[in-house]
Amino acid sequence: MASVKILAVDDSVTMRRILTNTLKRAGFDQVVEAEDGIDAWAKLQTEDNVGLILTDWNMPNMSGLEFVKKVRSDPKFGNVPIIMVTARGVKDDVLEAMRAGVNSYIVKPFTPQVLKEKIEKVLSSV
Amino acid sequence: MTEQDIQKLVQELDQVRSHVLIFETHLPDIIKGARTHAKAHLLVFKDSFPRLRHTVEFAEQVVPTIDRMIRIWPEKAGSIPQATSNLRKVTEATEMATTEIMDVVDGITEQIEDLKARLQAQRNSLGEGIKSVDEKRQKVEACLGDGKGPKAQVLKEVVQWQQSLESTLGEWGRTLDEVVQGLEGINDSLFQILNALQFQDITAQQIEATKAILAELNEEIKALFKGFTQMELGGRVEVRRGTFDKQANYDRKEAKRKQRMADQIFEEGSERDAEKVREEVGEMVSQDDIDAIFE
Repeated sequence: MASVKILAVDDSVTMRRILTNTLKRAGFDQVVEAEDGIDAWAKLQTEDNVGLILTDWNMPNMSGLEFVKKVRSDPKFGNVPIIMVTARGVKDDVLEAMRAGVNSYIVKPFTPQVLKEKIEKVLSSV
Repeated sequence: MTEQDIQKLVQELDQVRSHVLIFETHLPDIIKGARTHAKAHLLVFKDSFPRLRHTVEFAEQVVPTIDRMIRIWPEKAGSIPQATSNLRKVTEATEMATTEIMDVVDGITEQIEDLKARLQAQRNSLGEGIKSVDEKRQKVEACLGDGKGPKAQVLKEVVQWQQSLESTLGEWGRTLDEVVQGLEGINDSLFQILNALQFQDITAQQIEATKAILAELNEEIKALFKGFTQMELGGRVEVRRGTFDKQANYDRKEAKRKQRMADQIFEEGSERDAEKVREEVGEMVSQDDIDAIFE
Protein backbone atom coordinates (compact mmCIF):
# COMPACT_ATOMS: atom_id res chain seq x y z
CA MET A 1 0.00 0.00 0.00
CA ALA A 2 2.82 2.38 0.91
CA SER A 3 4.33 1.90 -2.56
CA VAL A 4 1.41 3.71 -4.19
CA LYS A 5 2.28 6.91 -6.03
CA ILE A 6 0.27 9.87 -4.73
CA LEU A 7 -0.48 13.08 -6.61
CA ALA A 8 -0.87 15.95 -4.11
CA VAL A 9 -2.62 18.99 -5.62
CA ASP A 10 -2.76 22.31 -3.75
CA ASP A 11 -2.06 25.90 -4.77
CA SER A 12 -0.49 26.60 -1.38
CA VAL A 13 3.23 25.87 -1.19
CA THR A 14 2.84 25.35 2.55
CA MET A 15 0.07 22.80 2.15
CA ARG A 16 1.91 20.89 -0.55
CA ARG A 17 4.91 20.59 1.70
CA ILE A 18 2.84 19.57 4.73
CA LEU A 19 1.06 16.94 2.65
CA THR A 20 4.31 15.57 1.24
CA ASN A 21 5.97 15.47 4.67
CA THR A 22 2.96 13.83 6.28
CA LEU A 23 2.66 11.27 3.52
CA LYS A 24 6.35 10.40 3.67
CA ARG A 25 6.19 10.03 7.41
CA ALA A 26 3.21 7.73 6.97
CA GLY A 27 5.34 5.61 4.65
CA PHE A 28 4.16 6.91 1.27
CA ASP A 29 7.48 7.75 -0.35
CA GLN A 30 6.26 8.42 -3.87
CA VAL A 31 4.61 11.83 -3.86
CA VAL A 32 4.16 14.07 -6.91
CA GLU A 33 3.10 17.67 -6.35
CA ALA A 34 0.89 19.90 -8.53
CA GLU A 35 -0.19 23.50 -7.93
CA ASP A 36 -3.62 23.53 -9.59
CA GLY A 37 -6.00 21.41 -11.63
CA ILE A 38 -4.25 22.12 -14.93
CA ASP A 39 -0.84 21.23 -13.52
CA ALA A 40 -2.31 18.11 -11.93
CA TRP A 41 -3.88 17.02 -15.20
CA ALA A 42 -0.51 17.46 -16.94
CA LYS A 43 1.26 15.48 -14.19
CA LEU A 44 -1.31 12.73 -14.53
CA GLN A 45 -0.35 12.39 -18.20
CA THR A 46 3.39 12.28 -17.58
CA GLU A 47 3.68 10.36 -14.30
CA ASP A 48 3.33 6.61 -14.46
CA ASN A 49 0.88 4.75 -12.26
CA VAL A 50 -0.56 7.45 -10.06
CA GLY A 51 -2.54 5.40 -7.57
CA LEU A 52 -4.21 8.12 -5.54
CA ILE A 53 -5.01 11.81 -5.88
CA LEU A 54 -5.28 14.26 -2.98
CA THR A 55 -6.69 17.55 -4.18
CA ASP A 56 -7.58 20.92 -2.73
CA TRP A 57 -10.85 22.52 -3.86
CA ASN A 58 -10.16 26.25 -4.17
CA MET A 59 -7.39 26.74 -6.69
CA PRO A 60 -6.76 29.14 -9.58
CA ASN A 61 -6.99 28.16 -13.28
CA MET A 62 -8.77 24.87 -12.62
CA SER A 63 -10.46 24.15 -9.31
CA GLY A 64 -10.23 20.85 -7.52
CA LEU A 65 -13.86 20.10 -8.32
CA GLU A 66 -13.34 20.73 -12.04
CA PHE A 67 -10.24 18.54 -11.92
CA VAL A 68 -12.18 15.73 -10.22
CA LYS A 69 -14.88 15.90 -12.91
CA LYS A 70 -12.23 15.87 -15.63
CA VAL A 71 -10.51 12.84 -14.14
CA ARG A 72 -13.78 10.99 -13.59
CA SER A 73 -14.85 11.55 -17.20
CA ASP A 74 -11.58 10.24 -18.55
CA PRO A 75 -11.50 6.56 -19.57
CA LYS A 76 -7.83 6.16 -18.61
CA PHE A 77 -7.85 7.82 -15.18
CA GLY A 78 -11.54 7.58 -14.33
CA ASN A 79 -10.97 4.95 -11.66
CA VAL A 80 -8.08 6.60 -9.80
CA PRO A 81 -9.25 7.16 -6.23
CA ILE A 82 -9.53 10.81 -5.21
CA ILE A 83 -9.63 12.44 -1.79
CA MET A 84 -10.69 16.07 -1.50
CA VAL A 85 -8.60 17.96 1.09
CA THR A 86 -10.20 21.34 1.68
CA ALA A 87 -11.14 24.02 4.18
CA ARG A 88 -14.70 23.94 2.78
CA GLY A 89 -16.79 22.09 5.29
CA VAL A 90 -20.48 22.77 4.82
CA LYS A 91 -22.75 19.92 3.92
CA ASP A 92 -23.53 21.12 0.41
CA ASP A 93 -19.81 21.20 -0.37
CA VAL A 94 -19.38 17.63 0.79
CA LEU A 95 -22.40 16.55 -1.24
CA GLU A 96 -21.14 18.36 -4.33
CA ALA A 97 -17.73 16.72 -4.01
CA MET A 98 -19.38 13.34 -3.60
CA ARG A 99 -21.53 13.93 -6.68
CA ALA A 100 -18.40 14.88 -8.62
CA GLY A 101 -16.92 11.52 -7.72
CA VAL A 102 -14.46 11.91 -4.85
CA ASN A 103 -13.94 8.81 -2.74
CA SER A 104 -13.34 10.60 0.53
CA TYR A 105 -13.25 14.06 2.04
CA ILE A 106 -10.79 15.63 4.49
CA VAL A 107 -11.46 18.95 6.19
CA LYS A 108 -8.55 21.33 6.85
CA PRO A 109 -6.89 21.68 9.26
CA PHE A 110 -6.46 17.91 9.31
CA THR A 111 -4.40 15.69 11.58
CA PRO A 112 -1.82 13.25 10.20
CA GLN A 113 -3.91 10.43 11.66
CA VAL A 114 -7.00 11.46 9.70
CA LEU A 115 -4.98 11.74 6.49
CA LYS A 116 -3.47 8.30 6.98
CA GLU A 117 -6.77 6.69 7.92
CA LYS A 118 -8.61 8.09 4.92
CA ILE A 119 -5.87 7.07 2.51
CA GLU A 120 -5.74 3.55 3.90
CA LYS A 121 -9.51 3.23 3.80
CA VAL A 122 -9.77 4.47 0.22
CA LEU A 123 -6.87 2.31 -0.99
CA SER A 124 -8.23 -0.76 0.72
CA SER A 125 -11.61 -0.31 -0.95
CA VAL A 126 -10.29 -0.15 -4.54
CA MET B 1 -66.99 101.97 -40.74
CA THR B 2 -69.89 100.62 -42.78
CA GLU B 3 -73.23 99.53 -41.49
CA GLN B 4 -72.21 95.94 -42.25
CA ASP B 5 -69.12 96.30 -40.05
CA ILE B 6 -71.22 97.73 -37.22
CA GLN B 7 -73.64 94.79 -37.42
CA LYS B 8 -70.78 92.35 -37.32
CA LEU B 9 -69.36 94.13 -34.29
CA VAL B 10 -72.73 94.07 -32.54
CA GLN B 11 -72.96 90.30 -33.19
CA GLU B 12 -69.53 89.78 -31.72
CA LEU B 13 -70.46 91.89 -28.71
CA ASP B 14 -73.58 89.75 -28.28
CA GLN B 15 -71.41 86.63 -28.29
CA VAL B 16 -69.12 88.18 -25.72
CA ARG B 17 -72.11 89.18 -23.61
CA SER B 18 -73.42 85.65 -23.89
CA HIS B 19 -70.08 84.25 -22.69
CA VAL B 20 -69.95 86.75 -19.85
CA LEU B 21 -73.45 85.71 -18.80
CA ILE B 22 -72.42 82.06 -18.84
CA PHE B 23 -69.29 82.94 -16.89
CA GLU B 24 -71.36 84.96 -14.41
CA THR B 25 -73.67 82.00 -13.96
CA HIS B 26 -70.82 79.56 -13.28
CA LEU B 27 -68.56 81.97 -11.46
CA PRO B 28 -69.80 81.12 -7.97
CA ASP B 29 -69.30 77.43 -8.69
CA ILE B 30 -65.83 78.06 -10.10
CA ILE B 31 -64.91 80.21 -7.13
CA LYS B 32 -66.37 77.64 -4.77
CA GLY B 33 -64.45 74.83 -6.47
CA ALA B 34 -61.26 76.84 -6.49
CA ARG B 35 -61.67 77.64 -2.81
CA THR B 36 -62.32 73.97 -1.99
CA HIS B 37 -59.24 72.89 -3.95
CA ALA B 38 -57.16 75.64 -2.44
CA LYS B 39 -58.36 74.70 1.01
CA ALA B 40 -57.58 71.04 0.40
CA HIS B 41 -54.09 71.96 -0.85
CA LEU B 42 -53.56 74.21 2.12
CA LEU B 43 -54.65 71.45 4.47
CA VAL B 44 -52.27 69.05 2.82
CA PHE B 45 -49.55 71.66 2.94
CA LYS B 46 -50.41 72.29 6.58
CA ASP B 47 -49.97 68.59 7.30
CA SER B 48 -46.87 68.34 5.17
CA PHE B 49 -45.22 71.43 6.40
CA PRO B 50 -43.76 69.95 9.61
CA ARG B 51 -42.44 67.03 7.60
CA LEU B 52 -41.08 69.37 4.98
CA ARG B 53 -39.46 71.38 7.73
CA HIS B 54 -37.93 68.23 9.18
CA THR B 55 -36.76 67.23 5.74
CA VAL B 56 -35.08 70.57 5.28
CA GLU B 57 -33.53 70.35 8.73
CA PHE B 58 -32.39 66.79 8.00
CA ALA B 59 -30.93 67.93 4.70
CA GLU B 60 -29.11 70.73 6.50
CA GLN B 61 -27.55 68.15 8.79
CA VAL B 62 -26.86 65.58 6.13
CA VAL B 63 -25.50 67.79 3.43
CA PRO B 64 -22.29 68.60 5.31
CA THR B 65 -21.84 64.87 5.96
CA ILE B 66 -22.40 64.05 2.30
CA ASP B 67 -20.11 66.88 1.37
CA ARG B 68 -17.51 65.48 3.75
CA MET B 69 -18.02 62.01 2.28
CA ILE B 70 -17.54 63.39 -1.20
CA ARG B 71 -14.33 65.07 -0.09
CA ILE B 72 -12.94 62.27 2.08
CA TRP B 73 -14.30 58.94 0.86
CA PRO B 74 -12.73 59.06 -2.60
CA GLU B 75 -9.44 59.79 -0.88
CA LYS B 76 -10.00 56.85 1.50
CA ALA B 77 -11.21 54.70 -1.37
CA GLY B 78 -7.93 55.44 -3.04
CA SER B 79 -6.20 53.71 -0.17
CA ILE B 80 -8.14 50.44 -0.58
CA PRO B 81 -5.84 49.10 -3.31
CA GLN B 82 -2.90 49.98 -1.07
CA ALA B 83 -4.51 48.21 1.88
CA THR B 84 -5.15 45.09 -0.20
CA SER B 85 -1.62 45.24 -1.49
CA ASN B 86 -0.44 45.22 2.12
CA LEU B 87 -2.66 42.22 2.82
CA ARG B 88 -1.09 40.43 -0.12
CA LYS B 89 2.32 41.18 1.39
CA VAL B 90 1.15 39.68 4.70
CA THR B 91 0.24 36.47 2.89
CA GLU B 92 3.57 36.43 1.08
CA ALA B 93 5.48 37.12 4.30
CA THR B 94 3.70 34.37 6.25
CA GLU B 95 4.25 31.95 3.39
CA MET B 96 7.94 32.82 3.33
CA ALA B 97 8.25 32.59 7.11
CA THR B 98 6.38 29.29 7.12
CA THR B 99 8.74 27.93 4.49
CA GLU B 100 11.70 29.03 6.63
CA ILE B 101 10.21 27.32 9.67
CA MET B 102 9.61 24.17 7.66
CA ASP B 103 13.22 24.26 6.41
CA VAL B 104 14.46 24.53 10.00
CA VAL B 105 12.10 21.80 11.20
CA ASP B 106 13.18 19.51 8.36
CA GLY B 107 16.82 20.24 9.19
CA ILE B 108 16.34 19.42 12.88
CA THR B 109 14.35 16.28 12.00
CA GLU B 110 17.16 15.14 9.74
CA GLN B 111 19.76 15.77 12.46
CA ILE B 112 17.65 13.91 14.99
CA GLU B 113 17.22 10.96 12.64
CA ASP B 114 20.98 10.89 12.10
CA LEU B 115 21.62 11.12 15.84
CA LYS B 116 19.07 8.40 16.51
CA ALA B 117 20.74 6.11 13.97
CA ARG B 118 24.17 6.70 15.55
CA LEU B 119 22.85 6.16 19.07
CA GLN B 120 21.05 3.03 17.93
CA ALA B 121 24.31 1.73 16.45
CA GLN B 122 26.05 2.48 19.76
CA ARG B 123 23.25 0.76 21.61
CA ASN B 124 23.61 -2.35 19.48
CA SER B 125 27.37 -2.31 19.97
CA LEU B 126 26.87 -1.93 23.71
CA GLY B 127 24.49 -4.86 23.71
CA GLU B 128 27.12 -6.99 22.03
CA GLY B 129 29.71 -5.76 24.58
CA ILE B 130 27.43 -6.74 27.48
CA LYS B 131 26.91 -10.17 25.92
CA SER B 132 30.67 -10.60 25.48
CA VAL B 133 31.41 -9.59 29.09
CA ASP B 134 28.69 -11.98 30.25
CA GLU B 135 30.18 -14.85 28.28
CA LYS B 136 33.68 -14.16 29.65
CA ARG B 137 32.35 -13.93 33.19
CA GLN B 138 30.71 -17.30 32.80
CA LYS B 139 34.04 -18.76 31.56
CA VAL B 140 35.92 -17.25 34.52
CA GLU B 141 33.26 -18.57 36.93
CA ALA B 142 33.64 -22.01 35.32
CA CYS B 143 37.42 -21.86 35.81
CA LEU B 144 36.98 -20.71 39.38
CA GLY B 145 34.75 -23.57 40.41
CA ASP B 146 35.09 -24.14 44.15
CA GLY B 147 38.73 -23.05 44.07
CA LYS B 148 40.34 -21.42 47.06
CA GLY B 149 43.60 -19.67 47.64
CA PRO B 150 45.12 -16.40 46.32
CA LYS B 151 44.53 -17.16 42.61
CA ALA B 152 40.93 -18.10 43.26
CA GLN B 153 40.53 -14.86 45.20
CA VAL B 154 41.82 -12.89 42.20
CA LEU B 155 39.39 -14.72 39.90
CA LYS B 156 36.52 -13.92 42.29
CA GLU B 157 37.48 -10.25 42.15
CA VAL B 158 37.54 -10.48 38.32
CA VAL B 159 34.03 -11.97 38.36
CA GLN B 160 32.81 -9.21 40.68
CA TRP B 161 34.39 -6.59 38.40
CA GLN B 162 32.72 -8.19 35.37
CA GLN B 163 29.35 -8.17 37.16
CA SER B 164 29.82 -4.52 38.03
CA LEU B 165 30.80 -3.76 34.40
CA GLU B 166 27.74 -5.58 33.09
CA SER B 167 25.56 -3.60 35.44
CA THR B 168 27.16 -0.31 34.35
CA LEU B 169 26.89 -1.21 30.66
CA GLY B 170 23.28 -2.22 31.20
CA GLU B 171 22.61 1.17 32.80
CA TRP B 172 24.23 2.92 29.83
CA GLY B 173 22.07 0.83 27.48
CA ARG B 174 18.88 1.88 29.27
CA THR B 175 20.01 5.53 29.20
CA LEU B 176 20.66 5.26 25.47
CA ASP B 177 17.19 3.75 24.97
CA GLU B 178 15.69 6.66 26.90
CA VAL B 179 17.65 9.18 24.82
CA VAL B 180 16.45 7.57 21.58
CA GLN B 181 12.88 7.62 22.91
CA GLY B 182 13.32 11.27 23.86
CA LEU B 183 14.55 12.07 20.37
CA GLU B 184 11.53 10.32 18.90
CA GLY B 185 9.35 12.47 21.15
CA ILE B 186 11.10 15.61 19.89
CA ASN B 187 10.54 14.40 16.33
CA ASP B 188 6.84 13.93 17.04
CA SER B 189 6.65 17.45 18.48
CA LEU B 190 8.41 18.86 15.42
CA PHE B 191 5.93 17.02 13.24
CA GLN B 192 3.10 18.62 15.20
CA ILE B 193 4.68 22.03 14.58
CA LEU B 194 4.80 21.23 10.89
CA ASN B 195 1.16 20.17 10.91
CA ALA B 196 0.14 23.35 12.75
CA LEU B 197 1.59 25.38 9.88
CA GLN B 198 -1.64 24.63 8.01
CA PHE B 199 -2.73 27.89 9.62
CA GLN B 200 -0.80 29.71 6.88
CA ASP B 201 -2.96 28.27 4.09
CA ILE B 202 -6.15 28.98 6.01
CA THR B 203 -5.25 32.54 7.02
CA ALA B 204 -4.17 33.20 3.43
CA GLN B 205 -7.68 32.20 2.36
CA GLN B 206 -9.19 34.46 5.03
CA ILE B 207 -7.04 37.35 3.80
CA GLU B 208 -8.05 36.68 0.20
CA ALA B 209 -11.72 36.68 1.26
CA THR B 210 -11.18 40.05 2.99
CA LYS B 211 -9.52 41.37 -0.16
CA ALA B 212 -12.54 40.28 -2.18
CA ILE B 213 -14.82 42.30 0.15
CA LEU B 214 -12.54 45.33 -0.11
CA ALA B 215 -12.49 44.96 -3.91
CA GLU B 216 -16.29 45.05 -4.01
CA LEU B 217 -16.34 48.04 -1.65
CA ASN B 218 -13.78 49.76 -3.84
CA GLU B 219 -15.90 49.31 -6.96
CA GLU B 220 -19.07 50.44 -5.13
CA ILE B 221 -17.40 53.60 -3.86
CA LYS B 222 -16.01 54.34 -7.28
CA ALA B 223 -19.47 53.97 -8.82
CA LEU B 224 -21.07 56.06 -6.05
CA PHE B 225 -18.71 58.99 -6.30
CA LYS B 226 -18.22 59.00 -10.03
CA GLY B 227 -19.37 62.46 -11.16
CA PHE B 228 -19.18 63.95 -7.66
CA THR B 229 -15.47 64.38 -7.57
CA GLN B 230 -12.65 65.24 -9.89
CA MET B 231 -10.36 63.16 -7.75
CA GLU B 232 -8.84 60.07 -9.32
CA LEU B 233 -10.57 57.20 -7.56
CA GLY B 234 -8.69 54.12 -6.40
CA GLY B 235 -7.35 51.61 -8.90
CA ARG B 236 -8.41 48.03 -9.29
CA VAL B 237 -7.99 45.56 -6.47
CA GLU B 238 -6.55 42.27 -7.65
CA VAL B 239 -8.23 39.27 -6.07
CA ARG B 240 -7.31 35.67 -6.83
CA ARG B 241 -10.85 34.52 -7.54
CA GLY B 242 -11.62 30.92 -6.80
CA THR B 243 -8.57 30.42 -4.60
CA PHE B 244 -10.26 30.84 -1.26
CA ASP B 245 -13.14 29.70 0.83
CA LYS B 246 -14.66 32.66 2.67
CA GLN B 247 -15.61 30.37 5.55
CA ALA B 248 -12.12 28.89 5.95
CA ASN B 249 -11.23 28.77 9.62
CA TYR B 250 -8.30 27.41 11.61
CA ASP B 251 -10.33 25.70 14.28
CA ARG B 252 -9.40 22.11 15.09
CA LYS B 253 -12.60 21.47 17.03
CA GLU B 254 -14.75 22.81 14.23
CA ALA B 255 -12.73 20.87 11.64
CA LYS B 256 -13.26 17.70 13.65
CA ARG B 257 -17.01 18.31 13.71
CA LYS B 258 -17.08 18.96 9.97
CA GLN B 259 -14.92 15.89 9.38
CA ARG B 260 -17.42 13.73 11.21
CA MET B 261 -20.24 15.22 9.15
CA ALA B 262 -18.33 14.50 5.91
CA ASP B 263 -17.52 10.97 7.06
CA GLN B 264 -21.16 10.44 7.89
CA ILE B 265 -22.24 11.49 4.42
CA PHE B 266 -19.69 9.23 2.76
CA GLU B 267 -20.58 6.36 5.03
CA GLU B 268 -24.17 6.70 3.99
CA GLY B 269 -22.79 5.70 0.62
CA SER B 270 -25.28 7.37 -1.67
CA GLU B 271 -26.42 10.82 -2.47
CA ARG B 272 -30.02 9.99 -1.67
CA ASP B 273 -29.07 8.88 1.80
CA ALA B 274 -26.97 11.99 2.21
CA GLU B 275 -29.93 14.16 1.23
CA LYS B 276 -32.02 12.28 3.76
CA VAL B 277 -29.44 13.00 6.44
CA ARG B 278 -29.56 16.65 5.45
CA GLU B 279 -33.31 16.75 5.82
CA GLU B 280 -33.14 15.05 9.17
CA VAL B 281 -30.30 17.03 10.60
CA GLY B 282 -30.75 20.44 8.99
CA GLU B 283 -28.28 22.71 7.26
CA MET B 284 -25.73 23.06 10.03
CA VAL B 285 -25.11 20.02 12.19
CA SER B 286 -24.43 20.36 15.87
CA GLN B 287 -22.48 17.84 17.90
CA ASP B 288 -25.70 16.89 19.66
CA ASP B 289 -27.35 16.17 16.31
CA ILE B 290 -24.44 13.98 15.28
CA ASP B 291 -24.46 12.17 18.60
CA ALA B 292 -28.20 11.60 18.27
CA ILE B 293 -27.71 10.02 14.85
CA PHE B 294 -24.95 7.78 16.12
CA GLU B 295 -27.10 6.68 19.03
